[in-house]
Amino acid sequence: MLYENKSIIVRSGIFEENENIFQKLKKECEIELKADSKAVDVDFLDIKTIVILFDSFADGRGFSIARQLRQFGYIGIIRAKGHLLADQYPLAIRCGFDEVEISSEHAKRQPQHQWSDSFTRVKNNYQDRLMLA
Amino acid sequence: MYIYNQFDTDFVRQRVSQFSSQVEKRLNGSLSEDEFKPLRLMNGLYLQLHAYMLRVAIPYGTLNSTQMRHLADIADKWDKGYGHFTTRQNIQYNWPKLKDVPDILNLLADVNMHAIQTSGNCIRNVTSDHFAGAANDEVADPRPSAELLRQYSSDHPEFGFLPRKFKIAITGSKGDRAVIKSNDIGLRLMRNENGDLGYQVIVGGGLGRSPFVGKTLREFLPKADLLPYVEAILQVYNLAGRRDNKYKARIKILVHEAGLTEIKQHVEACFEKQKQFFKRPSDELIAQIEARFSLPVFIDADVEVFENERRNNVAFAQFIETNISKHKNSNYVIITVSLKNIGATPGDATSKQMRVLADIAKQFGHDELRVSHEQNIILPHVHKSHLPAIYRLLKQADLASANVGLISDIIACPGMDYCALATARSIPIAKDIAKKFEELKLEKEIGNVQIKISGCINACGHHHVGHIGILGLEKSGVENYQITLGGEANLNMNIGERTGPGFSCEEILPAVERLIEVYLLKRKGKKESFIEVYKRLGMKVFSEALYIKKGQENVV
Repeated sequence: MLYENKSIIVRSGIFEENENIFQKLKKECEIELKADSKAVDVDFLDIKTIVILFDSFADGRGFSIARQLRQFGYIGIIRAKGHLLADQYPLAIRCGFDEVEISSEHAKRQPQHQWSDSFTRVKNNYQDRLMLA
Repeated sequence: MYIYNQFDTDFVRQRVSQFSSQVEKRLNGSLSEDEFKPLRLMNGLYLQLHAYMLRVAIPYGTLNSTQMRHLADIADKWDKGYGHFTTRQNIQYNWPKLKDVPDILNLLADVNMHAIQTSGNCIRNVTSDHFAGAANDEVADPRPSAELLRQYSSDHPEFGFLPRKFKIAITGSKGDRAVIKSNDIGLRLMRNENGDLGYQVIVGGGLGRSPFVGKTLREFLPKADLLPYVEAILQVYNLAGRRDNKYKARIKILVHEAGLTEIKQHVEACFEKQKQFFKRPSDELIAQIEARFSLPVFIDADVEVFENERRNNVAFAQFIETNISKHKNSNYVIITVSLKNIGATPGDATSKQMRVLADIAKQFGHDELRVSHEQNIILPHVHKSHLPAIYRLLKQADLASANVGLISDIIACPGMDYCALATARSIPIAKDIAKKFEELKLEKEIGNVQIKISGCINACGHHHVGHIGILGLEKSGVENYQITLGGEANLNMNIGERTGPGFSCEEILPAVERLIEVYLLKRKGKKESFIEVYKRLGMKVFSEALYIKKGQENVV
């Protein structure tokens, strides 16, 4: 019932129904990138939200795209949309994603607490310790 | 050797609890089997032919006596009293139960060990020279670089879901005991003309169904640039590597299809960009890592007891001849303990043997052990005066086979006896060959020859780089073994050439015998090894012996 027919946005461990987000962003520019997009092709600096699609959780190209966007200086919102697991949430955050959009079916299978548990694993990683950007 | 700090310890504990929660999520349906699979693989857990298999990481093959003892305890408690040391310097347990795996991981965590990234499409456990820090031929110790790469690659956020697995190997010597050219990235520590330390960077090597010798991407990379450069290679691969066919997904195929020049352009461009954003590890952190690998405090003692034993004990002298390598300190040696007893499974060690090795390392070996990619165990720092005592202990534990580098020192994958992918058995073939030449008492006469056996085209037994390579396939329901000759596993890595049609299970041993007969007949004295004769004479004389005789036998 809870997530019926709406996609769900996960943001810092919080679930929000997607409708609200779209209300807010209605007039703002949003683009979708497929996993085979090249971040360098996008003139992105004035885009409010960039959505990177994950057809399969096993396809890690989206992580590199997000990281490149941040390296190029993009400061807007980056959202992962599609098949991403709660266990991958910390990786996404660390690559520069702000939020994840999943289907209602997926949200039922992997409810909010799994995402907030997972979020605690953002800290204490080797890469920060090695002072990588 | 590297000692875990609080951060490392916490990291491993966190991974154990994360994996426990993943098992739970699989059981309650939060994760589908397809989703669970890559997660369990990234924690070293495979589903094999008969049971789960757990592959425990031994970073760059280095461990101490306490860790070895824990490996023995796990073998007793959750396996059948033994473990299998692998060609990537790890250890595999073939019989754990899924429900016990979190307990095993917790026990490993007690001694700073884990199974992280020993499988899956991620950066795998980094391998290195098993003589690192001890060999007398190295430019620099590769272990600090290997440790830096271990830290860098552990749970890297960007590279956990690569097109395919990614293997990095590093050597500090021209001798290249790490076979760096068979890895996705191979690194060789070297000095440039100014005397600065850096790396030769090799990319796109690999065995498997399409073997490639790695190609040089950078002749010299300054030492401080290692991480941003590796990162550039990985980012190019992650975005451009093929994802449509798992057999074409390794970086070797990308390099092959796009060409080295194009890959180099992309990597160098990406590297230039990475350098701007990449804050390097602090000098302090690098110094901390390097300090962990300082040499042990060597003892100063008389070596006469060793010389006496060598004069008076033939078996001991023979062991010294085959199983000892030169150490930096002339009063020390490196011992290679063979896990290739005649008739035993290559790479297997019983829990009792593991404890004996741990005891020896603790008492005589500055508490250090190594696992070699040849599936043997190394005692890297042994004073000569301790050799007689060590030899006696090894002998009692059935660990004194004097066959390192000889024909029975065979690399073999687990094959159809354990592996779900295998198409033929490899262990029994290795056992048969070892037994036969032992019976003939010819091993010493034949000298150095490397036989490597794989039970399927994935080539885990490295058959492509064996002087004699044997590949077990299945042909209309029957095992069939193809032979390749002339492979080499060193800095001049070479991929062996197929001799012709394969041999049946019964024919393969006589075929190997015929190859050795030709070698003994054609060599210019004992000093010319099998591979040297092959390089001098080429395939023809060997294939004639293989196939003409085979035809004649059929006529009879």
